[in-house]
Amino acid sequence: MPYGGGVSRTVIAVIAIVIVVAIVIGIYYALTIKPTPPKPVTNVTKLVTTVSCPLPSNTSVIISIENEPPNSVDPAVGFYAGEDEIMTNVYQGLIMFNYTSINSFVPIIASSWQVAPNYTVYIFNIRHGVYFANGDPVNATTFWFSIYRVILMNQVDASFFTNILYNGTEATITGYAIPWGACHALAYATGNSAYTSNYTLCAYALANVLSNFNVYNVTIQKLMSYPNQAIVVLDPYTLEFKLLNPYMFFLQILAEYPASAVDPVFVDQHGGVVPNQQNTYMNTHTMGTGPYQVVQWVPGQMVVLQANPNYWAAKLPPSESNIMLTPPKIKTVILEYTSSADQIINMLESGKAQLMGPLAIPALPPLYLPSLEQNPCLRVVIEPPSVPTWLFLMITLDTQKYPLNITAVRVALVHAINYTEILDTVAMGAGELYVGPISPGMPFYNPGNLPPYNYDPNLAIQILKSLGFKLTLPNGTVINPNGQPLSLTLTYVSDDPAQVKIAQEVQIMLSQIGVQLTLNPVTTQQEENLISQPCTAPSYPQMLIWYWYPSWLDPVYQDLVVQTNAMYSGIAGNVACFNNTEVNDLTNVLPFITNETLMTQYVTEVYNITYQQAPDIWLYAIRQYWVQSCYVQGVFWNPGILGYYFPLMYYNTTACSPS
Amino acid sequence: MSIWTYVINRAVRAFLLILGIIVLTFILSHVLAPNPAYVWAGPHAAPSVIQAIIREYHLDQPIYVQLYYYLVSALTFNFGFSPYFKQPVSELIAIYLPRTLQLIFVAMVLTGLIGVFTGAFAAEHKDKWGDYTVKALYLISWCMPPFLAALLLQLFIAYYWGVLPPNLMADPTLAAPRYITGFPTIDALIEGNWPYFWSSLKHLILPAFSLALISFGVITRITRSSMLTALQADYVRAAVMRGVEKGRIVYVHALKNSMIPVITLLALVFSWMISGSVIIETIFSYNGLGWLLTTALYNYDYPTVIGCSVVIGIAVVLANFIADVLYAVIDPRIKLG
Repeated sequence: MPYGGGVSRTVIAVIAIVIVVAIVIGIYYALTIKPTPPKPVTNVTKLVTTVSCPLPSNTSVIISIENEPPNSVDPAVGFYAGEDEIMTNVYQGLIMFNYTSINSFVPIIASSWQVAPNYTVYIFNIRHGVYFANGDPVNATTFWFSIYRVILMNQVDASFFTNILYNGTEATITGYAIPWGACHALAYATGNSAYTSNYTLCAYALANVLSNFNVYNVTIQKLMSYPNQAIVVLDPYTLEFKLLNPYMFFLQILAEYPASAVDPVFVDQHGGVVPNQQNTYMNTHTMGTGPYQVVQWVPGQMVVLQANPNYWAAKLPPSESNIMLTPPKIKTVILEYTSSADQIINMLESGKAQLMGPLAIPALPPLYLPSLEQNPCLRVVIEPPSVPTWLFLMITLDTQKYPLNITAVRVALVHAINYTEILDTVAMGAGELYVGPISPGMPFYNPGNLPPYNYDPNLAIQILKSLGFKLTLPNGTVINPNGQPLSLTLTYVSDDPAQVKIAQEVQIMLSQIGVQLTLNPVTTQQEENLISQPCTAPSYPQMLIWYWYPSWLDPVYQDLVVQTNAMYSGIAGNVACFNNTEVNDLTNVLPFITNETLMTQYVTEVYNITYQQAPDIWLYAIRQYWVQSCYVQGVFWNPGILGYYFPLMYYNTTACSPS
Repeated sequence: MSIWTYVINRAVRAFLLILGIIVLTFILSHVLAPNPAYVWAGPHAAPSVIQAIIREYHLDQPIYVQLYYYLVSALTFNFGFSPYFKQPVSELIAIYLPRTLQLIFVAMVLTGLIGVFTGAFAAEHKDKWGDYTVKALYLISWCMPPFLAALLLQLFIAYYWGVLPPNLMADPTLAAPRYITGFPTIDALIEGNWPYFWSSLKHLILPAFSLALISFGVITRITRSSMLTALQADYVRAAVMRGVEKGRIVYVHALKNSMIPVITLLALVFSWMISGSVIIETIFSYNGLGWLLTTALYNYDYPTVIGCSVVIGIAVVLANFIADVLYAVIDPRIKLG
């Protein structure tokens, strides 16, 4: 087929250039001009302009856009913020935190309880008429099953009961986490004394009992009622916890999801219980007594919660109920997951999502809040200083390696940081200064009222000068020209905008005192990998921006002890690898002290020592914040509840007031 | 060499290749983080929990011992248990792989259609405006980084003009279909779940088009070259002399005979799309195998990383294998071996 003709090369070149220029202009336009969010309709004919925000198309549905898709909603396995949120709404335990209070509890499945004066025995009376969503009944044996299951499976949630209901040291050595006394209970119930000396046999026998759980079986009844074990079933509606060590904060643990009731029949129908193994079915399926149940799970994308149609608490008379037993007002909760901050913002601004989550660890850093506040259809809620904080930020200093093993160097560094500037530019109003290792508002926070470290670069320079370090100041002055320059490395997570900004600001601040700081960005997992090495490993972070929060609301054990006791060096909490004999002695006994005066005294002493030794630079405690639609009511924060509690939420169609 | 000998020969090589992928990925993963137990358990886990993980995954054993345990189970398609996703890896792959295959299938259809017809168009208008326009288009798309193409499409088509949804697999307010085949759109079709079916199709367009945009260029080029050769053939001249319509000559007779190299190329395109889908899936929050692999990598989830790598390796090897066999079957002139 004959073809001919052509176009001159000059013309082709011109066309190509025009196309390229058009594309560049288009990209520039796209990058510089923000798309305006769907504007609320304004009525300009009236004297007072009104703004109407679009109501969700279905007010029996609420959508929360989140960034942490769950991998497990099994109370024995799930741990992270996105998982906590689901478990809190689907499962229930004996008690729960009372709305926003972190110090008082309301009865949930329990009707009442007694605590022994020495905090070694807790007795609970179980309500009658409690049942799972499938109608299976709940009684004392349910909790014996559920909590023993958590311990025996030995996944991350077993940590809640370490050294309280089972011996952690024994579990590390033998490889099996077994509730204390359970092996003797098995020997008593079965007549086989081998269980008391063979941990493997005992663990698998207990697993067998749990996997074939029949409360009418006489042997199992004998087993559960054996008096010298972690949990004793005194009668079908009375449960006794006997702790390995006296522990004042045991109610705080019982208010968390690992102490939830799980249906034994449901578990046994779907894989049962195996020591040291997860139940993959229970990871993605739920059977709780709670106000919601999981009805749809699209892995990585979406979870749908539906109000439990068989919710036992809906039938309670008001005299026996409380606010945390309120049946859901919004029947359907859709949790959508995306890793993109832009998509989260878009979903909120367009009204397609009414909440941003998870609540415990916000999906958007504070840097985004000012622009979201401009939208009259959204509410940015930042908890006031009167509300206890839970999550806090610090820079850990490796106290085991030169030069940060020199206390004076650390003290110089803590005075070289302009905390107020970081608070203003990074926390954006969602933070407050504090003195660690406990966060403000929590019990036993800073009992000696030590002031936060102050910003005093001159003091920092004087200290470093006295140590003989060579300091080259920004104005060209060189101090100790013959000395050794001080160079440090700061590791931080690169996909956290807050940490990036902090790292950059700290670099500038330290340069003001003549210290050269190299920035080392890593991923979250790389960070955890680095701090799981020995403290003296060459790649162990010299300085690290680090978040911390307590697993449960015992700030003494979960904040102070784990961050200052040498036994928890590294990823377990004491990232600075602080090793002080006196602090170790105090913190070894602190968790199990039950005298508040003595506890306050010991905490004060630990505070004084760590304040002087400065193993960490306490940056700020995060005031909890979230973003919600203006129509949504009933959203609250309680650090003990860890996530949105959806039953109390509802739409108020007049809530978005005219502006 | 007979076709069966050829097939067996290629199958053995494919098996050895897959074995190599497993070993290499295993070793690289363990060099990256020799003991990820602490990462898997998280900072709040008790020491006994961490020890249990170490024992379960043999992390305290030498690497060759760990590799042995892994190979023994991998050869029976048991890729282990994901410490991050908390599901058996094979189940995870069964969930996420079909989503990616669905995306790639649509993208390949688009790539093939766009590439073949633009190539034929360019060949028909050789050295004219049509040819140069097509060349400019595919050069631009070829040079553009995949993430940029995807982001631009998302920005303009989804956010600015609101024509298509910007992310996810379907409207989240719709009830998702049961897991039947694993392909969400097909499952919706089987169930008669029409709202979800149409929604999932709508959500597929942008990510599939993004993938197609970065891949069609090579198809266009090959088709064009192949067509130019075909258009010089005697049978084409004969058709012209018989007065056959030009369009029919180009798009029916010549195009059909130009498809052989395109078939081979589609196998390669499949390989590119599997790797390109990692970025595209992340941008569109379309959580398929690419997202699974990326998340597993970030969390040092070795079993999942290796499982995904094996599956992707098998897919690529299989695609090439099928292309080779098809090539030999379609064109009797090709000698095997």
